[in-house]
Amino acid sequence: MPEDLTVGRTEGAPALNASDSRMEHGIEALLAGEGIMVLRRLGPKRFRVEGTPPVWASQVGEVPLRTGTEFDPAAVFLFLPYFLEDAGSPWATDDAPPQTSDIWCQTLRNGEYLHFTATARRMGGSEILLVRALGVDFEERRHVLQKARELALAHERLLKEISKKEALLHCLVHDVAGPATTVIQCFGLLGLEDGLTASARELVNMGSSEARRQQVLLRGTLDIFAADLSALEEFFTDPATAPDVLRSVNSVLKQLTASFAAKGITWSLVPEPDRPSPWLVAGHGGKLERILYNLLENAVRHSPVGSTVTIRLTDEVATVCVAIDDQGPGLDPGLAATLFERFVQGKTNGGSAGLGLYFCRMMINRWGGQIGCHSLPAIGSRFWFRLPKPGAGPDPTAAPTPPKH
Amino acid sequence: MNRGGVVKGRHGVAKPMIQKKICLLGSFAVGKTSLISRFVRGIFSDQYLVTVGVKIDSKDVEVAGETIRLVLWDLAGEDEFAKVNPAYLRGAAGYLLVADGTRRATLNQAKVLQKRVAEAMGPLPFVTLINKCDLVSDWEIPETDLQALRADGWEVIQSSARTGEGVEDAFASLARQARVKRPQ
Repeated sequence: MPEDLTVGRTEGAPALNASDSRMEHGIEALLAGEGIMVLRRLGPKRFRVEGTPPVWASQVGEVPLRTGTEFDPAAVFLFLPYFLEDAGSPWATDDAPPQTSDIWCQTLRNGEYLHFTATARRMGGSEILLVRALGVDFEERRHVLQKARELALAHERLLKEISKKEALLHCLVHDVAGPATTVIQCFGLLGLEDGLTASARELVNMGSSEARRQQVLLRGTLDIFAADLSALEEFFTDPATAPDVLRSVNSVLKQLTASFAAKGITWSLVPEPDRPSPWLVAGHGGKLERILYNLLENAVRHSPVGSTVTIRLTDEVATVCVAIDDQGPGLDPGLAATLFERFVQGKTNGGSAGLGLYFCRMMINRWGGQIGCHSLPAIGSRFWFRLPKPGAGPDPTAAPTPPKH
Repeated sequence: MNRGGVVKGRHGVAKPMIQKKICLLGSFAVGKTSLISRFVRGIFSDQYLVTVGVKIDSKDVEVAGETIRLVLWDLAGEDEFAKVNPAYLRGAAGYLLVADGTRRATLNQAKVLQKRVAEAMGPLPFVTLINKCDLVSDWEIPETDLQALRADGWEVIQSSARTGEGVEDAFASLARQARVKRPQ
């Protein structure tokens, strides 16, 4: 706004020529068009409308505010006394900085409402108060806030709904698991009986084994629904609390020492050379370890005796990629695309419920990452995931791309 | 909005009307704007419309034979995008602390807000509204929680902006307390 705005002209100032006068009227029209009302302070609780008032001025008070109307704006704009008291002395000196109020909302006589801000400033010796009705830009910002709040409410409702379903599922699983335990115990007692024929014993063993598998499946189902819920909960993108993926890999390798040893499998951890620790990623430490456990345990299960599992960590500027290579039979191309879906199992399920990889995908996606797998011709298979570094944020448009190495 | 700044005295002589500033505080979407809409205009809408900044309304009420103008400051709900500025309560004669009975977390947030206000403004009369009591099947706040608040001296009213239950009572109670305790 130009400093020589004519609303600030004082008594005794040089008379305006025709060009100045046209400019003055142009500026007045511009301000009115922008929804700004210019008020000159005449004294305590006394202001005068200067120039052309904006359209809303006819609706905001008990009587329309017109050019030259003198009134106490505090009686019309109930928020103003609060602001003017807070503003201190914006009119005390010529160089006092202008003060702008917070946003307030005012109901008009026609029942509609508008949002306003006020700015108090001194110009050319005059004490000026600009009252501005907020327009399209503000409505767009308000719309964004409205959507954010609606999403937050929808998120709360979703969490509540999932919690209810989880409680129901727990009840159902408990009801089903109870009889399964009894069946296992009965088979156990039957197995102790003397005089069972070989085929009868085989049937007892088969029944016992299937009942135990049923228990595993039930536990897996409970776990995955719990994970469904936790996937919607908090994770960390702050470097102070974000997990270190290299540390998590080492922790999981330690947990799987016996599994590796049982099959004579060795592992090789290859972080990127010369890259200093820590390897921080967005996510949750405990769940990240569970993801790594699922992937590494999967690799061990499908690796031949005496082979090697290789874990590679790559720094990709904004992301960190973890790839786990095994020397197993590789992946059926048709299966690779669906392997991360719920209840999908590989060629040999090995007693798993087909939920481990689903859990991995769910968590990685939640943290803004990608996950995938493919065969390594003549070698085995690769399972990989990529997570953003803390603060980097996900790229929602990025398609999953396998690691380059 | 009701306007006019005088009332007729006993002998028909005009005298200034007493005004009391009342603020409404609480998390977002607990129903603050709807409570004012119900109280001032007697209407309710299911549509959630976010409040930005401060929205001011007023209503004249009778307290002990005296007309008092309640100037109602509807403060934007608090969340990660916006924090309530306790300075808005300056000059307030009291406030309504609003929680959503179908969202238990909003009661905890109300307690935090009350503490912040008490620290910033000192003791002010307030009434706690546990709103949306018409949504019985979604209700999350057990009676024991409310009893605990009452045991701490809080006045707690269950309300519904939809049905109007508890709304007049809450404003009337606050108006009575405001008239007695903090003359402006």
